[in-house]
Amino acid sequence: MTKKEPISFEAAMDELKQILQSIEQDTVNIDDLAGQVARAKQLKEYCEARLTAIENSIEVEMTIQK
Amino acid sequence: MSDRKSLTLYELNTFIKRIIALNFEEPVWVVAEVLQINEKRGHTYLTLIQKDDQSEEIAAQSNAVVWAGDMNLLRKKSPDIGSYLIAGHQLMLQVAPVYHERFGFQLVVKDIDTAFTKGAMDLAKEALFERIRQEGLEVHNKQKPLPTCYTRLAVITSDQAAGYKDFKKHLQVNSGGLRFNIALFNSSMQGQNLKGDMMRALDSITERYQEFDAVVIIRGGGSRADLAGFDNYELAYKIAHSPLPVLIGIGHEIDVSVLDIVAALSFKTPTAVAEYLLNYNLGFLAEITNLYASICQHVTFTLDKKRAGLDKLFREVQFSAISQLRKRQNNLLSQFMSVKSTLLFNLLKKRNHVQQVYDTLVLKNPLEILKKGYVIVSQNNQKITSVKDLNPAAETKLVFHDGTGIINN
Repeated sequence: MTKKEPISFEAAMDELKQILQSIEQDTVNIDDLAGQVARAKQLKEYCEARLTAIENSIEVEMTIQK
Repeated sequence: MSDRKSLTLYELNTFIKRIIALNFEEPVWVVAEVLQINEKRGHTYLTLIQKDDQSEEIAAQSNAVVWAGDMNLLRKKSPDIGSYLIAGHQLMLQVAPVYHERFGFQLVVKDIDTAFTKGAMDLAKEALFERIRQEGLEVHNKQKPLPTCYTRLAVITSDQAAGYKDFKKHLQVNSGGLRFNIALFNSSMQGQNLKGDMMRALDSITERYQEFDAVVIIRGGGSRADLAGFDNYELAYKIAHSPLPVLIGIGHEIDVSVLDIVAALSFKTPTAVAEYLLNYNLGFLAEITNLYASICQHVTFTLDKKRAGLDKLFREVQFSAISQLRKRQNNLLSQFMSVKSTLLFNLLKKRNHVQQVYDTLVLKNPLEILKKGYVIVSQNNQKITSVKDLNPAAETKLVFHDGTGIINN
């Protein structure tokens, strides 16, 4: 099952934390566990990609032209 | 009627005339001083005197005449004869004593020994020079300060004199474009009127001395005798005490008149006076020009100095402004870099946070634990986490990391 793209970094982080919380509290159905872990990986990659994009943007925008 | 024998006046005068004529068959030479001189219809009438050596009183006096015809002959012999016939001169005259019945006694001048008169003039002149020196008259006028430049000239001369025309022409035509205001004080420059005319001219100038820069006395060339009229004490005295400097140019190359020694400056000719005036004023003009040039130079120097000061000040302002700008730019850059660092640091923190959450999640993932050989045991859809809850008879579901197995008892 492929879930939709998160709308933002913060939303992705919230969802990732929520999955962690669910796992910690053992509220995830064992059958859904693999799906949740895959989703967590997807969210992590999204967050990292967002951060990389922002970082690149900062490097580009905030480079002083000599 | 008286019986006394008498003569008529005419007879007496005729008798006297005969006596004189008989005793003076030839003309005789006589030395006398001229007291007065008049000219009428070409004839020259003289009053001759002799003064007492001691008292200076007139000891003898006679009238004399130079008939026009004789005067012409004398002129041919000595062209400057007129210059000797001046009141005050000692003359050696060849005279014929004549008595006329009606006009009385007089001496008819036949010849004049000019050499004697010259000698007498020299002696008189020497005495005059000595007097001038003794009285110190030669220094007075020389002590008068000369003007900065000569522009207003009181000129004493004869308006008919060639020397005056030369003087004016020389001043008017000059390369420097200099202008002179000339006031003419007309005066005889020779003969018996010279002294009176010049005295009057000098008096007139003295009355208006503030209108002039100098007195100029000029005349063209002349013989020594012509110039003798200038050798006069009263004239010398007046010139010495003139309130203005007096410049002399009375045209004689060899001789020196008494005016030359009492005047402030003496020149040989009127042209030489004009030349002096031109050079003097050109010198003043050059001085003014130099002064103007040095003022200009000074002004330029001062302006350049001010300009340099202004440039320096401007550069300082510019430098200061740029320094301030650089400082602000550096501040801005520093703040900007600080913002950038903070942003990147925050991103790193976020990245670490993501990683941390994910790592925790992976760590706590039950599937990872199952891979190590653990299983989840459940009966009737209930996790069995304690052996006490295990029902050996019930269907048991074993969940492995890679699948689920069921044990039916």
